[in-house]
Amino acid sequence: MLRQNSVGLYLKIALLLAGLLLAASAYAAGPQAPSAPAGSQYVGSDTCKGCHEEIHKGLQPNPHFQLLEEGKKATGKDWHGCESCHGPGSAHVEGGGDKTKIISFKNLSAKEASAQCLTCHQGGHEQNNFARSVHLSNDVGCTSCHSVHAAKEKKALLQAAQPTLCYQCHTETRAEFSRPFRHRVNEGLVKCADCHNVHGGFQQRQLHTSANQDQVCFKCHTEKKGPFVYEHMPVKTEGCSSCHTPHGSTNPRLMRVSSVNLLCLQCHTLSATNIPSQPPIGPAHNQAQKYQACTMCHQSIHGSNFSEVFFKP
Amino acid sequence: MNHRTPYCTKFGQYKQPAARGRSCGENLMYKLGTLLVGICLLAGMMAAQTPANTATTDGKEMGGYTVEQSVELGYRFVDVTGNRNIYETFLDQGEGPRLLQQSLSLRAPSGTGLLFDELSVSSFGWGGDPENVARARMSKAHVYDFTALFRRDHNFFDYPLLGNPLNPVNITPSFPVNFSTQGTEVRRRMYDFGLTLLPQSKLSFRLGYSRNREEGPAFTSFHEGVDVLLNQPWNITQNSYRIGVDFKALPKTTISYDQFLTYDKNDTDSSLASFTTFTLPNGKPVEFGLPWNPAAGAPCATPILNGKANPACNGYFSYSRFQRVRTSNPTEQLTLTSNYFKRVNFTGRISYSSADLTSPYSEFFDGLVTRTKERQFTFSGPASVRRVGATADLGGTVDLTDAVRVTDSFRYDNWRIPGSWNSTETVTLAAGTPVTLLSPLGATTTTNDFLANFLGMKTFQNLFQVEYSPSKRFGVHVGYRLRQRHVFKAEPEIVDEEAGFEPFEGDDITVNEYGPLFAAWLRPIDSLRINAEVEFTKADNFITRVSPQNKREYRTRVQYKPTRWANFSATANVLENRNNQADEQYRGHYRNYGFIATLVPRERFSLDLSYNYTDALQNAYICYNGTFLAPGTVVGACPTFSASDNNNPNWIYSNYSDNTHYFSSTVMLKPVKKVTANLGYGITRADGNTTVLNTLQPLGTLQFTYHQPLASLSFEVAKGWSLNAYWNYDQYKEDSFVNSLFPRNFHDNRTVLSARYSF
Repeated sequence: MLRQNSVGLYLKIALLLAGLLLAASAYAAGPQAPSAPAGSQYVGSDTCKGCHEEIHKGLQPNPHFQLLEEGKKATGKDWHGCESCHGPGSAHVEGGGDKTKIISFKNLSAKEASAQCLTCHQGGHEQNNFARSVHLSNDVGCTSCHSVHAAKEKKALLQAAQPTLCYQCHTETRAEFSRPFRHRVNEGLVKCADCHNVHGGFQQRQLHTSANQDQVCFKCHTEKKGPFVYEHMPVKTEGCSSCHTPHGSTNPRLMRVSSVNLLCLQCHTLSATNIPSQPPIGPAHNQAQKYQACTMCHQSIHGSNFSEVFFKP
Repeated sequence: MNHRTPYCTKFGQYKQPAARGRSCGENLMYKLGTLLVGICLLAGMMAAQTPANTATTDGKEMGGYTVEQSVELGYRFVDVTGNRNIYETFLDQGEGPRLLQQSLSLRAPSGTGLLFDELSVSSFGWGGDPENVARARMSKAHVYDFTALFRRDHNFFDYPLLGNPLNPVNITPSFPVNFSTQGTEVRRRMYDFGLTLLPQSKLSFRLGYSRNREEGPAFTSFHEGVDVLLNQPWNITQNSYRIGVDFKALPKTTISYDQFLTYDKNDTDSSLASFTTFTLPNGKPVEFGLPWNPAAGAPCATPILNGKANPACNGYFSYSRFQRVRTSNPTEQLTLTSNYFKRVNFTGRISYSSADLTSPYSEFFDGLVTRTKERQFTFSGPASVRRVGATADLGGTVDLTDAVRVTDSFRYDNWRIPGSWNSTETVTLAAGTPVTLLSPLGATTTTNDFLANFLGMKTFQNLFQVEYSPSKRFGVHVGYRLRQRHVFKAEPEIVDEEAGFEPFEGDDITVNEYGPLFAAWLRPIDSLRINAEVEFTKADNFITRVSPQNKREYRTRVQYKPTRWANFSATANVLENRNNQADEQYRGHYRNYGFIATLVPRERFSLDLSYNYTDALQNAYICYNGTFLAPGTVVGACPTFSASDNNNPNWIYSNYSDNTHYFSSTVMLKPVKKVTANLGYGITRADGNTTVLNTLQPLGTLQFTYHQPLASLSFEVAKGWSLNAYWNYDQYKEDSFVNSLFPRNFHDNRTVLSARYSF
């Protein structure tokens, strides 16, 4: 059972895990990305084109076409055109197009295929946590969303544009963004990737953060960012989602419940077991007569510089 | 077209002299954006008129570039019946000519472009749509990559049940509030520019600039004696700059340094708005505010005497407040990403940020607060706040074998917010008796207080996982998530300048959350993937009463893609929250089940079907003060209360539940080559219930039906040219109690006729 003030314990656990990782890495060996048959040599993209002309042509509007051009110039040892991704092709050619003698992404697992992509794309700031992403852990690899040869969306070679692509799996999100009160995702103003780093990150739900590592919501809702002399504690400690449902809601202002007062009272009720940091205990005013919405008076509820009770900004 | 209700007319008071309320600077940026799109359009059209060297199905070849372009111009007709303000809150599309969509792309596939290898510009919503976006990208391989994004949204909100005093109507005179006292008509313009230099070199540089501008009329309310309506036009600006450098020190290893500079301005001021303005016996106008319920003493028992405003009431002659918030926030960040060692992947990031906020303040009230006998008061004095934050993220992955990998993600986050307000208050009481709005000004007292406050939180969190995937058919991972949060919240204190600053007194809260997670995926055939994930979290403490001490999440997804043209997905997500403290009994859940089927069997036909059901609940014991007793109330049963704060310590197990069904379907037909038709229908139906603490309170959106059929027809009149018609119908209807307010129902027809040209 964990107890309070166990910072040391956490640090020890973290160090232990880090040590385990390092120790484990010492025993780990062998190539991470898939490889072509041993002895196979690079033959050049023009050879590939001889049989795969349609694919070659389809690659032209694609950033990876650069690989073909630079493969011809051999500007670096890793630039081999088609074979940059599919590996040396001589065995495949000599085998009369034997699919087992070349790296075929159709036959790879999501992790293997992604490892091949990450050979080049690992260093990107967006992708540098993909190895630990929720997507990859659940068998959703690069080629689940991106298509190098048949992308329908030029941007990032996506199989479909956002949010359609995301909705293909996240069916619940499509319904949420169709509610009366919603972020304008279906309208194209906001994209899923504006809030979520689909390639993984250190936040739960793969959320982005603002530049100062605060909540991503503050990138647009700057007026609620603060800092404030009088912070409404849950905004900063529990996050915006303690009161709001971020995708969409049947309630105005994306609130979790329909009545403002109920939302407030469910926290601001002093009870015997309540922690001491949650005064006031509830409204001094008769709910049946007036003050039907706490935020009518406490209108700066996200934080205030000039009112301890959030009456002023 | 006059579509605004009187409420919107009030908003209209804030229209600025500059076009559509834009400041001069904003106008310049807006014009530059428009100019950029205009130039790109022109370039595209010129390119279109240039004889093509080689015509291909994808664009035209011109000067070594493959050029593609499309532009769609049209006119939207809008017909709204019912509550126009709710229509605008939900949809906000107006009538008029529109540049509906535009795109331009120039590519030099072989990398032979002089200034760029690729240039693309796309945009939509020009001409007054509520959402307006433009994106641009220009790049030259190995040299630079430039991106630009402009987003504008018109955020109209007037759902009238938030902050509504629910004034009774069975009295004379009655003043129902049929608008949102917190309504907004804010325009947000966001600009994001990014430039990467030498993107594939060992040393590359990143530059960025973002701007977020929010402005527009808005209402708010203020309580002193009575609640009055305030005009509060938003005037908020954020400018962010970033510069970064990436150094590829070793193969597959990148060290990055980033410096972010963010500057915020908030010049939002407030002033008294008129709602119930009457004339005093001496002819002077006085504002009695929003709540009009004399039986409950708002603004007083007898606000009207002999046809004139009763001077013994609470009332406002004037009120204003002024602030100039300035925040500077530099952040430094160092990142290391490495895949240098085989089978080991590592990412580490540390960052430090320090925000400083300062703001002068000025507040003036002239009127009467009967409780304190104040006739005038002012507040002034600057506020000063800091936010200091340090963050460290470490993530590692080791592939022990081809089938087994271990991962760990650790995050340390420590921020603190010390703040102070050097407040000067002057209070002028009413002279003589009785105290009325007509009383002359009496004695003035001045008080100076240095108010200080503090909030801070330190977080450690770690997620350790072991993944086992022996083949491409099956995988499983187990993990354990830990999070410790230590919060210190001070009680705001008045600092004695002579005695000096004393350590804060407040509350220390430590919350340890921990629990296992288990997930598995199965891919019995290439086209079918099944995912299941379970996570249990326990907490030994809580920060708010609705912070769960026991949380369970179950997520299941099935995706079946038998062919390239068919996709079937189904999900079931269940989140269960509990806090079992005897006098809280917090119960919350969010259960969601849905499926999507998308079929595109041939170019001439497609079908999209979607259904979703959501069951949300949030219940907890509450203590409330009220003479209206909601069913289930136990009078005087609050376990702990202060009689001075709560005269009616009523205890009830409060309830909120919502069941929402969503269904949509779209069919695309192409009966002949040149004709494309779409037919669709969407419906959202919500049924909910909640504890009602006031007999006048409408349930609002707890019960509604929202129909959204659509249709479109496109006819290709010539190569590259098409004529289009789009039709949307929306019908929103609330089933629940309306009270004295305007019904919040509407239905509309939105029709767009357009012409599209593309090549």
